Amino acid sequence: MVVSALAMKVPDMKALRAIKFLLQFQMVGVMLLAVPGSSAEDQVRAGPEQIVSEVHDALTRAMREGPTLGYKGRFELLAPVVDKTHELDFIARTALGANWAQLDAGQQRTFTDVFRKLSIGSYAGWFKSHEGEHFEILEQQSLPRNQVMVRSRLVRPRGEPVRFDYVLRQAPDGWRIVNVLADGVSDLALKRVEYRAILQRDGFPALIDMLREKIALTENG
Amino acid sequence: MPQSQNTALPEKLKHRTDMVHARSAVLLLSCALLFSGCATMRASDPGADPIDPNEQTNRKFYDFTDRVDRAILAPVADVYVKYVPGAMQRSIGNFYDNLAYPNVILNGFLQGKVRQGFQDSLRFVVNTTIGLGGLFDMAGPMGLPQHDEDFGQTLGVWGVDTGSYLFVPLIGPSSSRDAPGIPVSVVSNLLFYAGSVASTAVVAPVAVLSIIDRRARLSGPMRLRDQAALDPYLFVREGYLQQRKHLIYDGDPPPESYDDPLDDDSLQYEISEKPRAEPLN
Repeated sequence: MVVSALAMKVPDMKALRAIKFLLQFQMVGVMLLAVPGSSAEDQVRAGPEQIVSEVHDALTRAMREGPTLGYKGRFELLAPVVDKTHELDFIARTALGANWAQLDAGQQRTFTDVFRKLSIGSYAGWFKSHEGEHFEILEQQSLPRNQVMVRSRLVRPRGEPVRFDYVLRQAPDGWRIVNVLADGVSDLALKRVEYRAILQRDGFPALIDMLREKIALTENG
Repeated sequence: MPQSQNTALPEKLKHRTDMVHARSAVLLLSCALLFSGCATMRASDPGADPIDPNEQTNRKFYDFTDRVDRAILAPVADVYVKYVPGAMQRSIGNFYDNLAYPNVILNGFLQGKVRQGFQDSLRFVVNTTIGLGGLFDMAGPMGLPQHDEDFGQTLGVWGVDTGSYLFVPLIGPSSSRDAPGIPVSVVSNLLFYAGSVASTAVVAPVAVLSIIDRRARLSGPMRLRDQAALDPYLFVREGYLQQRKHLIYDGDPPPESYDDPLDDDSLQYEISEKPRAEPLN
């Protein structure tokens, strides 16, 4: 009995070793496969969604701590996140369209600065208190011109969820948000129409004055 | 947002007599015809946005409606929002939504959404009976959610283009495609027939309350407009047109439907690596 058991064990051990070797080999293979896979995923999938999640986390924090932070605190909390996740210069330029090229460098700087404050101020004005809302990322879709759309929604304890769809493009330093659609209404498209009309009708100084008024209004939002 | 203004607006007509209903429907249709006529005549105006060839007229109607709104409706709605308890406001809203629900059922079927049409019919029956005449949304928790359909959306699903933008006085933003939906939503609303079964003394306050309810539900979007809009007319127009598209796709538009602001010709020079070739002229 003992002998036969030993005799049985020897080939068993061999088989085990072989299996172990195969497994190790396979592990290397899996790892080799996984490395290019995950980096491709970082570029194509995880990147844009991560950027959107960063915005959502900051907005949720702004809502949760809204009353204690106050408008100024929320502005300061959101400013670095918006700067990092949005390509604000590009958005500002796109909002003016062809009119951008007709401004001198100083006017362009003024506009970009005012536009940045309005963008951050709008977030700080709208996301100011928390009643159990939370963001959910739904899916990611590719758009023409190497842009992607990350679809998400703000689920509220009462009432219908609000859709927030973000359009991102690959900027030199990674994925950046270039447009936000709230329930299908494109922020950038809306601004383009308004800014173009006001520039043509009232001129650049009037546009800047109106934008400054709106920044002040976000504080009471 | 502005789209709800549109769905809201037919309600404003409903308190009037049948006579007025008929008259307004005729007026609206003639407006639509008139405007589409203007659209073709003035399409070559270089300053006009192709979607809004009648901007001057529309702006006048917008200003008039806005003045009436700020003078009468907005203050009343503010009081309503402030003093009527939230639960009661929701029940009142449910009640009017239920009366108007045949429009949703009808247009669900017209768009070929047969399953949704039957579900919505069941929803209407459940809320009218167990929901005590629509005051309580009993169907929602039973898996029969509320849908948003109207005849303008149906025409959109059938492939009719938006046409040109219209601002209908006292009613709100619309378009040559959506305007025919206004009379459809009026005649498919049960409130429209209330005048023939109940006395004016009963119907009139119910109708007035429906206007207040609709306006109160718009107070959020209106506040957003006042806060964010540089040009309220354009803000409402663009918001309306975009949200209508969103609704035609039932709130889930495919990626192809995204209108990229970068598609504007004037921006091509930024997208292509090299500057755009100078025109030859």
